[in-house]
Amino acid sequence: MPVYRQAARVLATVAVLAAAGHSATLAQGDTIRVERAVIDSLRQLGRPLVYDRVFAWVEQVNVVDMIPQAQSGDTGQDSEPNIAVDPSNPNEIVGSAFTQNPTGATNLAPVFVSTDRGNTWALRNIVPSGNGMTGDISVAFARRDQTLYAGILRGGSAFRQMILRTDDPFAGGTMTTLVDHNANTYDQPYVSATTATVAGANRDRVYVGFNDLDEWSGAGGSGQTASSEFSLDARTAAAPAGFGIAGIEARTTAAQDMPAVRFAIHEDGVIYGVFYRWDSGNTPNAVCDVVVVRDDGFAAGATPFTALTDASDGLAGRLVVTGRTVPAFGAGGTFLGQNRLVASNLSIAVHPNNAGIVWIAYADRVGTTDYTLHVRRSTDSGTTWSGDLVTVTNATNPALAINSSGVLGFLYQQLTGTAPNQRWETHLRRTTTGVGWSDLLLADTPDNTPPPAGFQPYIGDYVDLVTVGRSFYGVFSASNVPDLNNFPQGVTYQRNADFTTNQLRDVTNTANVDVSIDPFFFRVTPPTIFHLCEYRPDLCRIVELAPGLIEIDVIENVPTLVVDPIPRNCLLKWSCPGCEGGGALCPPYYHIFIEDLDPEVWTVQLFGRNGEIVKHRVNQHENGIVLSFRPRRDNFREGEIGDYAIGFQSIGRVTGGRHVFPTRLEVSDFPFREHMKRRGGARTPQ
Amino acid sequence: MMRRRYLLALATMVLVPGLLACPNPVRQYTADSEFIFRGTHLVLDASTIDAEEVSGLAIVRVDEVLSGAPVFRGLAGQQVTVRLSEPGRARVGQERVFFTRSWHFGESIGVIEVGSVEAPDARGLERMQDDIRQAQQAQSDAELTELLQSAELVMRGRVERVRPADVPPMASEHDPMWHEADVTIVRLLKGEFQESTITIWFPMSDDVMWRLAPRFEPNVEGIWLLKTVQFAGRPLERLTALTPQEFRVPAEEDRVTRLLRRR
Repeated sequence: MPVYRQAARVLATVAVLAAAGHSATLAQGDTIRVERAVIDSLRQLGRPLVYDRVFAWVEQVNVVDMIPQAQSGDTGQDSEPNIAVDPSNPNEIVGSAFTQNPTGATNLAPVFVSTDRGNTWALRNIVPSGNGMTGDISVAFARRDQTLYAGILRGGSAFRQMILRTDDPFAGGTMTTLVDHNANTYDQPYVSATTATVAGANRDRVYVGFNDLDEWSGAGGSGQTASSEFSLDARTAAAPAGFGIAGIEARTTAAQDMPAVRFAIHEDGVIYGVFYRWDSGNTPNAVCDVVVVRDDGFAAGATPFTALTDASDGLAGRLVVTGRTVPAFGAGGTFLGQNRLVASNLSIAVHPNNAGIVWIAYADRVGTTDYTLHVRRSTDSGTTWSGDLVTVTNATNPALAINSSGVLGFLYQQLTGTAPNQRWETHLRRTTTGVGWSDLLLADTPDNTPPPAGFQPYIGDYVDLVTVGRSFYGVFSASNVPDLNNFPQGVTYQRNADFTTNQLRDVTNTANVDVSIDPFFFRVTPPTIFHLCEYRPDLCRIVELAPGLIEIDVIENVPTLVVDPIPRNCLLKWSCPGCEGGGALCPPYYHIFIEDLDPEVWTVQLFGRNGEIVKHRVNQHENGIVLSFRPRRDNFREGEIGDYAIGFQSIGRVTGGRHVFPTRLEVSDFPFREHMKRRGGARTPQ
Repeated sequence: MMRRRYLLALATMVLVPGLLACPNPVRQYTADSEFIFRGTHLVLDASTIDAEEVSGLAIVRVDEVLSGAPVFRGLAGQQVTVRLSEPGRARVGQERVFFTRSWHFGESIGVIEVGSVEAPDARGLERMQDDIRQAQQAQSDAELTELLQSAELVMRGRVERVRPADVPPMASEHDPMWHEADVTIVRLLKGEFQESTITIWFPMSDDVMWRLAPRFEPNVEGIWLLKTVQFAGRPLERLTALTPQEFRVPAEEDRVTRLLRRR
């Protein structure tokens, strides 16, 4: 087909997509996502679907309940999640929440780990504890070389702040304690990290914002409690690994600063911090200022975080807004829905390509009963600030992050509806300038189901959002009722759940499990692939059947996506033995060898029965690749492997015509590397 | 942590007569184990979990669960991944009793082998289970002994009244909301106290920090292991018991008394 016809069809498709209700304002560098309903309507109209660069606009959104399958019986209130994505390998992600050690042991608490970009999760007990869970916890990877840092309040030890490190959170060893403040009253350690290269050596620079309640005036302190604890070279040194404490509050306060102290690091060495200064009044209606501090040299100088002053008094720390009522604490507590409010709703993000551009989000009360989030921006390193660029009423847990294209992500949870049937909407909004905002609704979950499990926070005092490249990675906690209506972007549960009856199921799938609060991971990824075929593989171009060959027809200069259903391959291309093949592992590992395929030109991925990307690994081998995976038990069939499809997407320049790749299947009890070591003994080479 | 485990293991050996003289691997392994099972090696250098490097791992079928938390109890007949302590010794088809601690809870369960012994016959297995139970009891006694030693006052008592303590509230999500409990001392088991009623503090907060701390109401009876704790930079004004292990049911009085005498 001539290229111009292809282009015409693309434009027609885009027009249909636009007409189908994508009303959200798009920002420069922003991405959109095609709704399944739109695709269905296109199909009903008989519209052709052609893959083109236009669809680089289309993005992929994944939402995953992080509770692992082995923990299907979990009924804990796994609230206040946090996340760290390894910038040098975003396949590797660590998450945290108020999650109990699955064994009931009290000496260690778990974190969630994923090695496949958050598609699947496991729990590993690596955090020192006194009661089998953590108090406050935040996690961050350094920029290079996989070292993970955590700031925690040790479980069962009140305000005992610790800073932890591990060079491999996926191996399972207990994290090393770098700092242990066992005689202090410190609160809400929130860790940020980067890596600087000094004289050719990588040095991890780690900054922990916290509230030093030993300086609470009620305990005889100065009242200047907003603090930092940081190290300029934390990676390998023995404890305390260079960590030292510096206060960042320069003014007097009513009694103390509020709990949250957050940092944003630019790799040039500019570091911003934000906190609430408690100016006057009493809780639950304390009157606060929002203060931003800055350091221009990794806080390595004698007077860290004093580079930014306020013209009103000449003191360090720019007063971005003053005299705001911040509802928190007080007799009986202050609540939004079933979740308490504790003056922790602050976030800050710096533009990765311009250290002078910095955004903040904060919360206050504008009227008499509301709780309102505000987002503001400075383009001159915090000296002057915009007015509100967006406000959200009755929302909490703001988190900001900026991707490599300069797109700001603003994650928050908004309470909607009328009690007792209120709901939590979890939104990701994005913008580049603050003028136009897109809005992605990630979850719409009940506030009254389940009831709080005897403690607060119900969903958390904070959530988390980070970026690697153009992708956004985030985490929030919400009710885990298995109802697809609650997750407009779709959702994947690892734990057993019946979405027809809306029931959670136990690990043996024999009994129902009570609803609880779970942490949900999400990833918003600009496309390397047009994900239509994830949702409707039947709409996509299907690879022709040919014994031992994968054949793909390519139109010159038109990006190509094809789908190759595995059960069809098992009919003709391969023999597909399963558990009856004589091995011990059921289901076994399958290794699909595809020869003559250049991974610089083609991306190959594996999709499940609902179009979701499922866990797999792609290894280069000789002049091609090997795609290895192990089917899930609930999607496995003897002789056919299961409802999986291989997707091939051209990512480089591809010549027109038919591309032919010889293929074969090998089956064994071992993942790829071990399989290759033992290949002489492979169970059923085909 | 390792030092503490070592000391506990040592205390366990001292508390179980004859253990020091004749080391019993079952009892030694038990002290460090969270999951003990009889299992069969199915595949070596292989894994049921997402591990790209499988050297030293083994897929083991759980034939019988001997001891473990609820998360492990339904595993009989299923495959788990074991990180072997001595990979060179394992053989496919070998039946052993595995003493393990937790490692990975994901699409499958992975555990780390503390040690293992050849699976005995039925009678031997009964004896081994007795050994495991004794070792676990000894370990539990050692942990309680450690708590008793660190307590300033150990007493059996009954709560008479509860009221908010006269302390200013903290502007913190973790404000403990200290409350006072007047407790009638039924029996003083350790320490000295002249009055018949003692006032203790406890956190009434529903914050996650205090989630597992015992909270009291009138007429509650039990055994308190009380001590002074540092809070907000200074010692708390009253004795307190902040962990579930420091407030025990009355039925444990004989055990507590026995362990206090043994010190």
